[in-house]
Order: sequence, then structure tokens, then C-alpha cells
Amino acid sequence: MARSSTENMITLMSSDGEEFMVTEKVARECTTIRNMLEDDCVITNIPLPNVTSDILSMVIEYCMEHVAAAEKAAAETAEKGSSSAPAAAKANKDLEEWDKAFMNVDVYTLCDLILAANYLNVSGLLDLTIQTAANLIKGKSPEQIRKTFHIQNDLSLEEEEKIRSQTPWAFEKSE
Amino acid sequence: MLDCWWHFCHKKMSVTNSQSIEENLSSFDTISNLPECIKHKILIYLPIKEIVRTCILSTSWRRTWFTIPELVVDSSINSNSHQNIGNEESRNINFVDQLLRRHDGNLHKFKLSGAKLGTMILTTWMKTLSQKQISELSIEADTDQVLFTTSLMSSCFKLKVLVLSRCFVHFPQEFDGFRLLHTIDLRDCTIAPKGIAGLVSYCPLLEILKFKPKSFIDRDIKIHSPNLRELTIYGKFTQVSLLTPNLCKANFVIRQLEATSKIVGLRGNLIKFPIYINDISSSRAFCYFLEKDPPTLNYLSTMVMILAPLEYHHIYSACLLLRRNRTLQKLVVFLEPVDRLPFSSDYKLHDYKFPFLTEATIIPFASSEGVIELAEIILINAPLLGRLIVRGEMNDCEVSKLNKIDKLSTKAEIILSESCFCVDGKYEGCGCCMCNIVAW
Repeated sequence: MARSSTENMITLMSSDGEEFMVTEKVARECTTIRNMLEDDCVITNIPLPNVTSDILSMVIEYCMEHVAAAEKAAAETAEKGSSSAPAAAKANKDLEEWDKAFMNVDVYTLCDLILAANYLNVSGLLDLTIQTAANLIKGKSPEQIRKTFHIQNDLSLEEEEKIRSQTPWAFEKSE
Repeated sequence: MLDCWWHFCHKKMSVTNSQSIEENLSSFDTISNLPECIKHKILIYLPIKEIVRTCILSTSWRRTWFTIPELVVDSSINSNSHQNIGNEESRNINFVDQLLRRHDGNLHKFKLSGAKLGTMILTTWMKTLSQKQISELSIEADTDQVLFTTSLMSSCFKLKVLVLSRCFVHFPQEFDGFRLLHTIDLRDCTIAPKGIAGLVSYCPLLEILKFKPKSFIDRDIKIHSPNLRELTIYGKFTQVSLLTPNLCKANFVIRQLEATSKIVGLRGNLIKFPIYINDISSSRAFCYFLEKDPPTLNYLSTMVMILAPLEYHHIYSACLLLRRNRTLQKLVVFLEPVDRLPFSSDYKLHDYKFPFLTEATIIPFASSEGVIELAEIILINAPLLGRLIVRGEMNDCEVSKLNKIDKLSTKAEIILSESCFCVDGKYEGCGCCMCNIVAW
């Protein structure tokens, strides 16, 4: 407890005015915020006009989980002198499971998370969300992709035919 | 100001209200509204056909893939396998041709494999790629008919990584080179005489060089590269001369030459380390053939030796190599059975010193002859040894002998493990250096 009280707290403010208190360590997971802190170390209140409160709370949740996992791994290494491979592998697997559960969101939230991760430059979250989006597209027909992401097809039939004829091999039925 | 904002919102709402439900839904189409660079990042995870297919999703996706910075063309384009080979060939060339013609922007990374290639068509593509500022190029041909020459590559000034597989590589002397190239990886390529020496001398920033030639006309290789840090050579060579002051990792997998007496005589000098390389820190020297006077490497930390000696002086050299390189932390020895291992007969057992050795592995090829002897040398001379792994089968008598040896290190444990996959020639799964090297 003593440690957490000495740790710097940073207030992040979402676009809709909600404030989130996080430790500096968690905030530093966001490269954008880290750069701000490094430029000006007395800053404690950071407005984030591009991120809504529900998305920001998810980003913070992700950062906290990953900071906690890294801290736990570091503590274990210090305790035993050397990291034991099976324990580290299990911790990694747990974190992967957590990530997977965390990605159980609708496509709107997913896209908002991608934008937030990109804006705040949280590389782990950006990779995770982008991979998730790619997995939603992979193996689907154009119609299925449109349905998944609510993409409205504004191409006329003639236009669509023309585009298909430019790279016909991409539209062949694969076995 | 506030009025203006209110007016704007109001107007927007009324517009939304007046439009159809479908239009309304399009405002939820968040993925299409992502910035192009993010859409590219998503597309990079998809197979090539699916990337191209996104162009008919809607007008906003129409041109998205045209500017993607990375393209990987692999065998996934050959999905219609029932077509005959001739058609397949021209079809594939058409695919890549259309792909490169449609693509409209800089392409940093281009990877091509599983396609039948010809030198002619490649010349056209390379020209296109060089205009696209290509920096990472990987081409895997399916025959070695593809000729890579200066004219093909000379305009790719931005090239940083070059990976070629199953190509015929020929770089003649008159060539400006790749000023920025830092990684060269040539697998199963046919390399023209002096090809490696030439190529390397054109690349002042080269840091990583790997090559595994399919056939090699040059058996005497000279590598003069001031910034080279990692070198992997796999194949048949009579002599390798290095002038690489910054080399810190070297892998040599030297395949045995034809067993004619003439070549046997050359073996003693196979790997030549100039004496001024003294900071090789992780040389996994696969010493099939050792020099009579092996080098002393001041920072050598990992060594893998294959002792498959045919002549007495090879063993002698191996002993000398072990005695001289006292900075070793990790040692792996592959041992072939011989009549007499002179580890202890030529030198007293305590002449060997392994002050930093923490892990040692002995892998006998066929029988366990010589294993006890080598294990004893390691155990009684290595104060920091954590574990000694002996792979392969041992009988009870040998095991008890092994356990009776006085250990210098208090925490040293002897691990007897199952026969290594490497011994069966599978080279996978056990995670030893040999596997890693062969898997490369």
C-alpha cells in the first residue's frame, strides 16, 4: 500500500469529460502518454479528446492487466533467481486467454478500440485488436464481410463486374 | 459560436432522420471509416487473394489494397490444383503481374514464393519493385533457372533485406552495390564463382550473411566485410577466409567432401580463422575438420563440436581447441566412436580449464565410447557447471562410473536423456544447436 501511495497518479480525461485515475506505470503503457510525461514531467491531468469514456476504461483495463502480469513475472524472477520456463509459459498462456476474453466485443467497440490503441500508441493492444479484426475477415466471402461489419455496398453491379474482371483470379472459388 | 454548433448538430440530425434506415446503418460502418494505414495493417494479416477481394466491399474499400505497403504472394494462389502445369505457370505469372500493375504506391516488403518464375518476367517486376522503393525482398523460385544478376537488382537502391531461395545468383565485379543492405540470406541457391565475395564487397553495411548453396563453384571463399556480425555457412568448402573484425556469431556446417585421399589431405586446413578475429563470442564452430593449430578466441562463449575424426591429428586439434578456449560457457560435443580418444593421454586431465562453463552436452553418435572420458574432463575442470547432459543410451556400469567422478562444481547435476533426434537424422524437436542450424 505504501508503495502505491508514493507512486505518481495521473488523471486521464475522456472526450465526454469523465476522469480516470491511474498509476503512472499504467499510463506509461500508452506510448503517446509516455512521451507527454517525458516531455513535461509535472503533468498530472491529461485530456484525451479522441477517446470516449467507455473505450478509455477498456484501454486502461488492458494496460493494468498487462502491467500486473509483467510485475508478477519480474517478482517471480527476482524471488527464484532465475525464471522457470514452465511457470513463465503458463503466465503467458493465462495472459493470452485473458486477451482472448477481452476481445469478445462487438465490431463497433473493436473499431473504436483500434482507433484508441492507435492514438494512444499501445502497441500490444493495437496488434491484438488488428489481429482480431483480421480474423473476422479471414475466410469470409465479400457478402459475409459486409454483414459482419455492416458495410453498405454502394457499388453498382456493373462496377462490381468491372472490378472483378481486373483481378479475376482473386475471385475464383477456392477448394 | 455555441449557436453555430447547435445549428450544425440539428442539421445533421435532421439529415439523418430523413434518410433511409440503410443509410443510417452506414454510419455504424466503423471499419470502413478507419484510416487507410490501419486498414492496411488489418489486410496484412490476410492471404493475398482475400486482400485483393476486399476491393469489392464498397467504394471506400475499392482502392484500399492498392497502397498496402507489404505483399506476400505464396502458394495460396494455386488453389485450383486440378489445372495442368502449363496453365498454372502462365496463370501465376498473370496473377503477380496484375498484382504489381494494380498496386499503386510504395511497397516496402515483397515476398514471392510458390510461383513459377522466369528471368524475363522477373526483370519487369524488379523494375516495378525498384520504383516502389522496395526495402525487403524475398523470392523463392521453384527451380534454379531464375538468374539473379546485377542488371536485375541494380536499381533497388533502398534494399535492406534480401532473401533468395533456389535462384542462380551471379553478381559480376562491375557493380555499385546495395549501400543499405544489412541482411543477405541465400538458401539452396546456385552461386556463381566469386559470387559471395563479390556480393559481400558491394554491401558496406552488411551485418547478417547466411548461405546454403545448392551447388557451389567456388570452394575457396573470401569474406571481407567490416560490419558483419552474424555468419552462417552451410555446405561444401575447402577454405573459408574471413576478414570480419566485428563478427560475433558464426555457424559453420561443413558437409563432408568426397572421401578421396586428395581431399582428406586438405581437411586439416578447412576453416581458417585469421588470428586478428578475437571477439567471436558465440561461434558454434561445427568442427568436422579442424586445423592443426586451432584458433584462440578470447570471447568464445558457445561451442558446438562434431568429432567425427578420421585422423589422429583432428582429435589432437580438438583437444587443443578445448584447452585454448577457456571462456566457454556452453559446450556441445557430438562424438563419433573411435578406437582411442586421446583426451587424457596427450594431456593431463587437469590441463583442461573451463572456468565459466555452465552447461555441457555430450551426444554420442553410435556408441558411448569416449563419453566417460570427456565427461570426466568436463566435470573435474568446471567449477560453475550447472548441468551435464549426456544423450544416448548408457549401460549400468557406465552410469555408475559417471556418477563416481569427483565434481569440481557442487551444484553440477548429470542428466541422462533419451537419444537425441539429431542422431536419427531428423534434426527436429530436441532444440539442440544442431536442430536449430538444420532448421534454419
